[in-house]
Amino acid sequence: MQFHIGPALGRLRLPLGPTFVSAILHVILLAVVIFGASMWTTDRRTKPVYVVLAPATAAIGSPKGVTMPPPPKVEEAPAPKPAPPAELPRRDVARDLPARDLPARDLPARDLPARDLPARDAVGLPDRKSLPLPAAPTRPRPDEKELPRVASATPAATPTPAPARPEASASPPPPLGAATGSASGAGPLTLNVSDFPYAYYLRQVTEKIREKWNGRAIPGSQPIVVFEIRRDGRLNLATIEKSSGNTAYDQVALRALNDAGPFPPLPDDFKKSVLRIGLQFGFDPTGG
Amino acid sequence: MRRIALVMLLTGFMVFTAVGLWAPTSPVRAQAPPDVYINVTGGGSTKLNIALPDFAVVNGSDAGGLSRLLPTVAGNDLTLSGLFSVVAGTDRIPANNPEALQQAWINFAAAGAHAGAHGLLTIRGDRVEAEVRLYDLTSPNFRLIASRKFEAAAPQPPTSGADWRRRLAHKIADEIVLQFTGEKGVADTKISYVVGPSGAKEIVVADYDGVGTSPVTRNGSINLSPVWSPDARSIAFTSFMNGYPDLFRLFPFEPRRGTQTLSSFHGINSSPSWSPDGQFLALTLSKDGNPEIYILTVATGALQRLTRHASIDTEPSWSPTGQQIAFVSDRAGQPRIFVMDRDGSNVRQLTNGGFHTQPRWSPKGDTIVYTQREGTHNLWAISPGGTNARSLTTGQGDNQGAAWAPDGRHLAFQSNRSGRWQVYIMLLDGTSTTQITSGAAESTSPSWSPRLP
Repeated sequence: MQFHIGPALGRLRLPLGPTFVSAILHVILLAVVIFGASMWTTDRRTKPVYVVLAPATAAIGSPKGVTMPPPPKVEEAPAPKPAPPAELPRRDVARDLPARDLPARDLPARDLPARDLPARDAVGLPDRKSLPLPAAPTRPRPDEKELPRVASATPAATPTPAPARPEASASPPPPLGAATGSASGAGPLTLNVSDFPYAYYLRQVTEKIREKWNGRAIPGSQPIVVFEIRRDGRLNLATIEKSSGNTAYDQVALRALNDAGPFPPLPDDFKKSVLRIGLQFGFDPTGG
Repeated sequence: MRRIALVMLLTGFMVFTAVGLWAPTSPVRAQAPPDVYINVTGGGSTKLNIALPDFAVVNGSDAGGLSRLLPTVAGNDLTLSGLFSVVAGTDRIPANNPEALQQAWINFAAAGAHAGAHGLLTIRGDRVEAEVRLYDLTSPNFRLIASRKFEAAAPQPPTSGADWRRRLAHKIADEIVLQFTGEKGVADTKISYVVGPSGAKEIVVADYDGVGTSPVTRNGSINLSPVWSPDARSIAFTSFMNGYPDLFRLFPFEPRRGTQTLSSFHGINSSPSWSPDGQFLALTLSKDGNPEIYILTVATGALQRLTRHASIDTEPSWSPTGQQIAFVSDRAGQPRIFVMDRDGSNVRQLTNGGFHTQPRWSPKGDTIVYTQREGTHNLWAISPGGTNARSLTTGQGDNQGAAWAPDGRHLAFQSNRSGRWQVYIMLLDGTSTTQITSGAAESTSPSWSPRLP
């Protein structure tokens, strides 16, 4: 067979059969490369932490007019160990987490604590080893329970690291809230390798979005949006990472996000030019 | 060679096809993973609890009590912002003592504080340098959020009324609001209002919280409806100082600069409203018979008539885009709120069924506040599209004359709920109402300045 394509290719004999096979092979190869790469990157994105901001009021109430307790001595620091767990929001959060419509590929995030534990040991909490750390993957894994507590940003969580390490009194306890955490998140409450340990900031961002999200949420599948905040607090870009299945509803979520800006300026010591946030919208049947 | 070229061509084509097929299922985006994930569901919003202990004096002597005054005034600003609760507690944290700082934050965090502000003062005579460090008390090691320096000096010669130390505190509060919300606070602003019995009304200027009153007119006549210009340097007002209701402009921060006449046409010259760029003034003139709305070019005095109607058109208020003007007209029988384009075209009625006056367009553009007569007067709000009409005050005497704060979240207004006309400020949702004037004289007709330069 002969093709007359143009003067330049006019005399070219094109072996159609081999070319066709080659084309199919190329397509398959490309598909493997591209989807393989995308799967690889999804795997990479399991690193971020799901910070579930529990309602702060439940934990602390309004401190207005609260008289200051006498300054507790440092030795008394481990005393608040029996924190009333029922009052704290983290239990709810822990139960909630699996219920969210997180994409399946984000589930491997639960493996994170296991991976990070050696790092914590390196910081010098040898007692952690006594915990059933590589525990059998039975359903409510102890690691899983820890995740929200660490992530929960309420100050109530701050004075209660004691339950996390009841043996702390044996060794000299680091003062509550001491600088045992680090930017790489090796501290007892950061638990993870989050690059962004500023709980107040996430709280404020969540509050601003929540204000605009009130009254717009509808039941059913909820979208996940990824957006960036610039150093001056302005919204950089927002994209739907996981659609709710309802394009119009996705747009409502994006609009709520846009209406919520500008956000607080990024903390001085956070050096990146933007903060990238994965945002899981939710529907609260009580709060609308 | 040609064969190779053709294969490359085909390969290129396939790459494009493959990318095209792949892209819609997984939108092209920056591949960096998010730094953090958060969850947002509905629910009531909560205030941020902030600890604001007395400032530490690093250098110099604090004869004037600044270390207490600054956090007290700034703490009141944060409370008035409606965004913060200030956590009580007065232990002074010494400078350069990390252990004491740590212990203080532990105590404040235990008392429910989400954030702490530690002030460090360097005082040299009448010059003060204040460094304010903000800490996140919800993170395990009380991370430093930001550190900001402020400088202030006593004015030479000393001026009456305006207190530079309170202004320093206001600036600190505004910066704290910025750091936690992304938008500056409105503490470093002024409110002007009218004081006096009928027959002798003078205009005064005070801090937005009502402290530090100083008179800006002293003509013994009747001075009405002050309105701040967008650059916060001048105030337009109506005065009878020449016997007729003419429109003037004064410069409250430039004592040597005299009052300037803006318009003195025959009849009424009233209801000034600045365009957002400060170049024009919408106003009401009755020089052609009944009151109509005009636009005055401030620099040249050129006039442009906007309304042409046999009924009364008055009280214009610019939208923040400068493209539209809300006003009052009784062309529908009773006074109602209308909106028109800047050239007077496209007039449409915004409110129905009531007696509505004093429209004021929010600096954010999304709300128009007005006064409704319902036995007494009350403040209402409505969207510029005419939806979501809602009452802001109710059952508390007579409330009128709203004025927006530059953040579009606060309003000043006059109320006689205490038995005498006084000026109040409140949040747009009608909460956190605070009386800012007091005394035997009537205080009316507030105007909230833009943020001071």
